[in-house]
Parts: sequence; structure tokens; C-alpha cells
Amino acid sequence: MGIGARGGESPAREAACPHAARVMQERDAIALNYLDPAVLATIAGLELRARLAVEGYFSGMHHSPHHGLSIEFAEHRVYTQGDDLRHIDWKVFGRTDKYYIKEYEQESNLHLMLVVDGSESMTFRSAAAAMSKYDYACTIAAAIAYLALQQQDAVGLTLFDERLTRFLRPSSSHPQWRTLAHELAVHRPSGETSVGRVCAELAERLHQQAMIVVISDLLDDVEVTIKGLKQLRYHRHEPIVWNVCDEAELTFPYTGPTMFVGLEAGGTLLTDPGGLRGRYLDELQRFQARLRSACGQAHVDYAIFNTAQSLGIALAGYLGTRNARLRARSSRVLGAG
Amino acid sequence: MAGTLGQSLPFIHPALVGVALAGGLVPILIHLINLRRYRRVEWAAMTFLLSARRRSAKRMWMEHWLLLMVRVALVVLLGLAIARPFVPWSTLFSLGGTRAHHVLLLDNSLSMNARGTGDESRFAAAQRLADRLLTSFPSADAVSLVTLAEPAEAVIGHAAYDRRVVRERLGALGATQRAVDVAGGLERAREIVGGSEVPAANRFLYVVSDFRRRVWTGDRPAAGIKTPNDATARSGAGPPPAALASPGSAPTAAVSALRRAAEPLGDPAQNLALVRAVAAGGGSDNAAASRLAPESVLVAPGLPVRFVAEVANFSPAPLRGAGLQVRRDGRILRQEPLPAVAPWSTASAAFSLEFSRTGSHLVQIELAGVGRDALPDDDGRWYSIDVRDRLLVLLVDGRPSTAVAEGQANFLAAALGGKIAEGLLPGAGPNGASSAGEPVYVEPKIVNAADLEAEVLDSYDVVGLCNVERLTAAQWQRLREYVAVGHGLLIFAGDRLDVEHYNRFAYDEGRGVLPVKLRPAIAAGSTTAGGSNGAAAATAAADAPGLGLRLAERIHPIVAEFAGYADSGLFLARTQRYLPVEPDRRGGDVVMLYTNGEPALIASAFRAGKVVLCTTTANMDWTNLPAKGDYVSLMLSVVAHVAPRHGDQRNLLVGETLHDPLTPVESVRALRVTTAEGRTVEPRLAPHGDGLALTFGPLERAGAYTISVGSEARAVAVNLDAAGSDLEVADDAALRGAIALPARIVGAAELESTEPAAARSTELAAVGFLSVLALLVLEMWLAMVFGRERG
Repeated sequence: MGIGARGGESPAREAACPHAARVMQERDAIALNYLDPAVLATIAGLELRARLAVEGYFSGMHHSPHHGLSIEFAEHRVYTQGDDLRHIDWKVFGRTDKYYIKEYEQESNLHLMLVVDGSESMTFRSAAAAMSKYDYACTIAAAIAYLALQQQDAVGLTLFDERLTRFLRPSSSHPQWRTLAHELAVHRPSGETSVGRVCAELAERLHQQAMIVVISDLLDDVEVTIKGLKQLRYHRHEPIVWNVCDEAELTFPYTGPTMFVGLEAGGTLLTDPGGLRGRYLDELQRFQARLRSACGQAHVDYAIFNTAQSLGIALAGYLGTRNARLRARSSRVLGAG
Repeated sequence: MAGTLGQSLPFIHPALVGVALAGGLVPILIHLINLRRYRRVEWAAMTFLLSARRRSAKRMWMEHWLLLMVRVALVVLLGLAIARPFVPWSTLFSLGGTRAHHVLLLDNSLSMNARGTGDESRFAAAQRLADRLLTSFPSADAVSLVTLAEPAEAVIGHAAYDRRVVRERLGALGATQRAVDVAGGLERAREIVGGSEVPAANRFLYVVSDFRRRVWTGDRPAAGIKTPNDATARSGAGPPPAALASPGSAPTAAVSALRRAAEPLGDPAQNLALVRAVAAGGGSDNAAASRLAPESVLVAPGLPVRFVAEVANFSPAPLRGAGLQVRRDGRILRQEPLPAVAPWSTASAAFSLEFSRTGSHLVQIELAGVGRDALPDDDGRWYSIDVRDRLLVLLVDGRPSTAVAEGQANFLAAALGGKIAEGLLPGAGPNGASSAGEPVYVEPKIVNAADLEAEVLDSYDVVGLCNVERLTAAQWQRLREYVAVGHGLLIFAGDRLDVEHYNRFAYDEGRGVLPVKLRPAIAAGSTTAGGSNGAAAATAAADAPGLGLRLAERIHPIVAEFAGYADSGLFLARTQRYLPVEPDRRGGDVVMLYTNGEPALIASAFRAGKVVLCTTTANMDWTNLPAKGDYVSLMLSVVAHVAPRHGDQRNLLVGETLHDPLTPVESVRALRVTTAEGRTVEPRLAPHGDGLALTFGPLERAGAYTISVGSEARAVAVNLDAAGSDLEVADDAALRGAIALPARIVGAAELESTEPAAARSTELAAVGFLSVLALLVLEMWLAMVFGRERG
């Protein structure tokens, strides 16, 4: 089912045919379930999971998300196995007897860089959670990428732990989403989190202004993280920070003698968690408050995502920010004109 | 630790104190187990967790330990409450300064079996009073219990707080037939009181007894009964009764012990109480068969044996119309009439019995026609007697001779052997006139000193050394061992006897078999250098050509038959030479003296055996005594005196242990002991010299016992200590005067009217349970508060 087809139906038509309207409502209800992490967790394959999430999200919307833009030739590159034969430039082949692929660059509304935390701490998944923090982050990232590509935006991917481990430049080409989803799926989280360092490195690599969505548990030094984000801002990027947390990390529900084993570092701690709960939550809230405050000062959007929450919030957050960005750009263009 | 705590703290169930303390470990163990059973969680946000831990560590530690301590206290307090602690209010207010220790001495000796006009025995009354005392003690006080039957025993020697245990022990006690051992019991009590942790003012001693006059005041010459330590009390034979204590004499052993036991007490007026189980003057009339013994030492088959029985009357009224039923080996033979027995005195009756065969026999007498008797247990008496047909004597001659009229051993053998032992027969006079026709043979055997080594001494009853110059050290050692186990030894002087050698090995500074130290032989009429008897010797010199003989002032049983016969040949004999002796305090009894005052015949005891020393010869060398007719009677009497009493070890008193030697052949046979109650039990075997002996006991009941050695039966007679038959109770004045202590003398009526002091104490169990409840609430509240903080 295409997003555009769903978005093209009018309320007047629904009113004229009550049966069709009921069928549509039932289908929307089913689709909305795909925003629930518990439901998504039962679906194998990140691609399908992300597409269903996006469709679920849009099942409740009644306007078209399409903003058609032109496609322009960008460059030739040597054919490699797996490339679509339709994109081979036969004229060049006739002249050079070599296969070259014609690459086009779609004129995007937006450059989107998804920065996903692939450190070991992201593997945490409490007993009650449907998926780990990393799985949740991947689902969000893939869904947004799918959504962005549907809207002709260029999407890139950065995977990192204490350093940048995978980097896909933003592209609006059709295979980009599959490549991106594949990279997310095959990555095995390890190492420690170092958001600040990665942001600084990313700022150096990205030459075009982009919206950078950092999806991480941010278990790093706050000052370093903020410093990295500020560097992104300095390079005129628009960072968005989504702090992914497990439900258990936010509530600390444990009781009885428990041995906590650090996923990245920190060793082990045998304690009665009931006696620590208050202090722990204080520490956590202080950390998040500092992040929120620092992000606000740096004009960086900051949001906390609970892995038990619907993915719709993430998608809405992205779209809201994107639209605001486009409006701002339009107003700047109009102002300049 | 629990035992110490239980004994030093007032708990009704002190054993539970240990359980309570151990229970306190349960919460700790649960905590430790929980620590080991943690779950493992992989955690991402360790930074926050570690930081929270750093900030909460102290608070968590305090909460944790506070809860743990409350839970431990909860369990321990619950256990202690179940152990039922007791604390008197006075203790609560004076911080434990008035806890007391009570030591109860309960008389359970023979006399406590007596019953007065009622059916209750003295012991039952004493037991009831002791229980009443227990009730009257504050529950937090400690109690110890000592019994007075010989040997006195600390039934509860420690400070016991569990009244249930004390009552169980008290209830399990019974009156015995043993003698009383007040001195020993008070010594045990003194040790207990002296070791008590409470102050002297809080130590209390209670003697619950019948307080017999004989034991406490000692002013009653009660029927001439001997003490249990007098060996002759078992057999009935021996010297006349010793004089008893007279009024105003030295305190009795019981009184002396009481005074010593009162020393660790605070004020005897408050801390020492004599509790009467029986009122003075009530129900003490008693008659007892107090003695049964044969007069003859050597008992042979077919010979009449004269027995003497003695009946004691322990009452203020004369005993008339009583008789003695005589039994032999269980068969009633006859009833002998008894003369009237005056108040507080004894009467004797003699009767003769014959034994048709050798071996062990039992003679029994039973009082009959006594009427009301407070203590029937002492109305019977038994005697075990061995009938033998030979007395074996080994004579060692230092100068053996084949001529009958030369060697000393020959003279002695001629006097002893092959002749009727007339002097041993009942009714035989000094001149050898016997009333019986059947002979009793003494079998002498003569060897020289060199042959002594080859002889098995234990097969002889008596060994005689006649003019033996010297023996080897090993031979003297054998002789010492031989005499020590009960055999007899005769030593006769002579010209060959080496005085220095005898003094060194036989006298051995008073440790040997020789009762006195010898001096070189002297002729009659000569003076001893530096001798104390010089004046007497000078007097005797006037009686030349020799010294005569006379009896000692105290007539010895050996020569008792000659006491009334001044014309006996003994006193006509003349001695020309003899061995003077040095006076020795332990030198035995002088039986006969020379007319110069020097001892002629000395009898002494060495351990279980007897020794007789004759300071002149047994033949005509130094004296013409062997030529006199009474020489034979004298020598037979000497031999009879030193000869061992066969079977005497089977005449015992209650409380003693039977110890009957066995031959190697007997020791492998089946051994059984049948008790006075008819039970058959297997005895133990114990070492005896080089062999074994059958042991059984201590014997608890008087009566006839039987030892079965294979098919052979041996009679054992177990009698009561006749001293316990005197039931007369000392009155308060006499008792107070005797003990000379301001002790309280409490009667049964006075004691039973006393309000129990237990009511003045408070059991802390209720307080303990309330505390447990409070702790439980506290624990729940703390858990809730801490839980809320955590939640």
C-alpha cells in the first residue's frame, strides 16, 4: 500500500460510503498497532518493521506527504556487481567499452543524517521490555529513513561506539534505505559510548548542512556530549538528540540482592537495589536535566524515548522538526527574494 | 557457654537458653544465604548506580544492621522467654545482689527406713520436707542436693535452677540400708557452698535428717555397737567393745563437719537450718540383731562350732520374751530363748552348730517375738563360714635336725601336727581336755631356709621361721606379700638368728613384718645396755635360774584361756635366754612378758595378715616352756590366731563390695551372684595378686547372697551396720548444745506453715513475650519505613 494512495482519500468520500469507511477504520486500527514496540518486536526484519511503523503512523493522517522534486545527473562511476543494469550508460560503453553507471542526485528537500549509538550499553533490555535499546533505535532510524526517502529527502547513517564505525553519506537514491537498514541490522553493538567525539568527527565529515538525529542512551560525559553537539551546530547542522532509555532504567524496579554487571565499564555491584532506588533515580534525573538544559542552551532538540513507548512519537517529532525546518528555509528564501 | 549461662542465670529451662542463643544465628544465616542467592543483571547505567551507592552506603549499612539486630534480638528474646527466666523483685531492684544458693542435705541412711506410729517412714517425711523447702525457695535461687548415706554423694553438685530437674532427682531417691555419712555429706556441702558465686549471706544450708542422738550428740553408750570401720563388726569376733563417748566429750564427727560447713555461710542463725524429719522422742523403739560370730577360728566337719549372737535393745523399756530363730544354710534349726534385755543394752546368746561337710555355709539368726519394732530391717543377721579339714603350716628351721627333740621346727611340728587341736575346740580347757571326739589336724611341713624358695607360700595358712639366720631380700619380699594378703607368720628366736639382718629386712624401720626392733640375745639375769627394762631385769635376776612368764595386763585372745589358771605350766616355765626388743609405738600387742617385764610374745598385724614374735626359742635351747603341758595349747592358739579366716571376705556390711579371690581354674568357670532379693547377676572379675577375684557391689541390701562358681556355691553374708539401729533422736536442747551453733532447728509443722517464697519472685516470661511483641512491631515498622524509602 502506497502512502500517497492512502493520503489521497477524502473525508467526503468516506461519508458517502459508510461500509468503506468502516473498513478503513479497521485497517487503520491494525496499522496503528505497528507503532507499538511490543508488536513490532514480533516482526522479523528491520525493513519490514520500519515500513510497517511508518505506514502505521500515516494511517491516521489525511494529507499527502508528497513534495515532488526534480532529479539531476550527478556523475558516472564504475559498474559494480549488484548495480541496476538499467542505470548503465550505454553511450559511454559504446565510446569506452567499459560499463559506467549514471548516477543522479535527487534534489532533496532535506539532508538527514541518522546517528545511531552502536555501543554495548545499547544492548540492554530489561525483562519487561519488548526490545533492546539498540533494536528500538534501529527501528526508529529505519522508519525515519523510510519516511524521509518517501519524501525525497537524502538520508545518511552513522553508527558509532567510542568511534565512528560505519558512515553512509546522505542519499535519496532508492537503494539507500535498504543499505541503511542492512547496516543497522548487521551491526553488533560493542564498545563504549562516546557521543561527543563522534559528533565532532561527523561535523568534519558532513559538508552539506543536514539535520542530524542522534539516537543514543547518551551514557557518556555530559560536557563532552554537549561539546560535540555544539560543534555540529557550529557547522550549521541541526542536531536532534533522542535519548533512548529502557523502562527499567527509568524506574529501577529491582528488589532483593542483585549483582549488577556493567555492560561497558563500571565493574560489578552487589547490592540491595531497593535501598538504592531513590538515589539512583535522583542521579538519573539530574543527568537528564543537565542534558536537557545544555541542549536547550545549544538550541538542540532533546527528547527522551522509553523503549516501551510508541514509535509514533519519534516519527511525529521528526516530521515536526522537518516541517519547521522547511518552513524556516522557505521564509529565508522568500525573504531573500 | 550455654551450659554456663544456664547454670548462672535463673531459667526454668536452662537448656533452652542455648537453643535461644543458637536461634539468634538464624537471621544472620538467612541474611548470608540471601547474599549468596543474588540474581545477576547486566546493567548499562552503572555510572548512576555507583554514584547512588556511594551516596547511600552509610545509610543502607545502618538500616541493614538495625533490621538485622532487631531480628536477631527478636529470635533470641523469644527463645529466652520460652526458657522462662525468673527474677525476684528484690533482684530487680538491687541489680541481682540477693540471689541465693540453697544446699539441701538429705539423710537416706538406714535409720531413715524407720517408721514411727504412722505409716510414713522417716525418709518419706524427709523427702516431703525437702520438697516443701524447694517450694519455699525463690524460683531464681540455685539449689544443690547431697545425700548422706555412706558414701555421701552430691546428687546435684552444681547450682541448679531448674526446679523440675531437682524435683525429679529428689523423687528418684530412696532410703538405703547404708550407714550414715554426715561428715562426708557436710564436706561435700562445704565444697559446694564454698564454690558458690553468691555472697556468703545468700548461701543457705539445710540438713534434713532424723538427727539421731548417737550421730549428733554422742552421749549414748548405745548397746556397745561398734562403728562400721571396725573390721570385727563384720565377723563379730574380736576384742571387747571399746568405750563409747560420754556426755561432754569431744564433738562427734558430724558436729565437727557441721561447724566446718558453716564457715563459708554468712550468719549460721539465718543461713543454717537443721530440719527434723521426725520429732524428738517419737517412734524410736527398736531391737536389732547386732552381732553374730563363731567363737572358734578353725571349723571342721563334724565338730560343734559355738556361735555367739548379740541382741541390742534400743528403747527405754526392757525387751522381754524375745527369741532367736537359728537357720543353717536356709533351714530353720531351732529357736533359742533370749534373756531379758535391759533398756539401751545388749544381751548375748550362744548356740552350737555342726557342719557335716566342708565348704561354705551360711548361718542366720532372726529376732522373734519382738513386738512393735520401728526398723524390722535389722532384725536378722547372717554369717558365712568356711568349714575346712586341714590347717597347713610351713616351718622353716635354721638348724634342722633329724632328732625330734633338737630342732625348733621338730618341737613345733610335734606340738601341732598329729594331735587334736584341742585348744581350738569350744569348751577345751588349758589342759587339753576336749569335749569333742573328732580330730582337727594341723599339718606342719618342715623345710630349711634354702628350700623355702621352692615352696608355694600361698598354699600354706601359716609360715613359721624357727631360728632362721637370714633370708634373701627376695624371700623377705615374698613373705611380706604373703602376710599382707592375710596369711600368718611366726618368728621364733634362736642362737642363729642374725639380729642386724632381721632389723634391716624384717623390721625395716617399722615398715616390715617384724613388729619391733630386735637387740642381741642376752641371758636371763643380765642387763641390757641402756635398756629401759634394766630395773625389771635386775628384779628378775633374783628369780634365777631363769625368767618366768606372765600375761600382759590386757589379756590377749591368744592367752585368754590361761587367764584364770595361775597354776598353768606356762607360768612355771623358766627362760634362760631371749632377745630383748626396743620399745616401739607401733610394735603390736604384748601377749606375754617375762617376769623382768621384757616382752616374750608379741602379736601384731601387717596389712591383712598377722605376725607373732616369740623372743625365745620354740625348743628347749633357751627355755623349758616346750616341756610344759600347756606348750601345745599355747602354740595351737598362736597358730589359730595368725591363721587366716577362710571365707571371712564373704562377711560384709551393706555398702561394701564383695571381693572373693578365685583360683585359675575357678576363674574360667561360669560365675553368678544371686542377690538377697533373688536376682541372678553376672559379677565382674578384677586382678587379685597374680590371679583374679570375683567382685560385685557395692552391696545395697542386707541378707544372704550366693556366689556360684561352676557347680560350687559360696555363701555371702551381708549385714547392716548395727550403729544405724539406734534410732533415738536428739532433742532440740541436746542438739543445740552439741553443735554449739546458732542454727535454726526447724520441725515439720513449722516448715509446712511457712509461706512459699516463690510467690515473691516474678517470672519474666510474660515480660519476655511482651518484649518479643514490641520487637516484632518495631521490626515491621522499620521494614515499612525502610521499604518506603526504597519504594
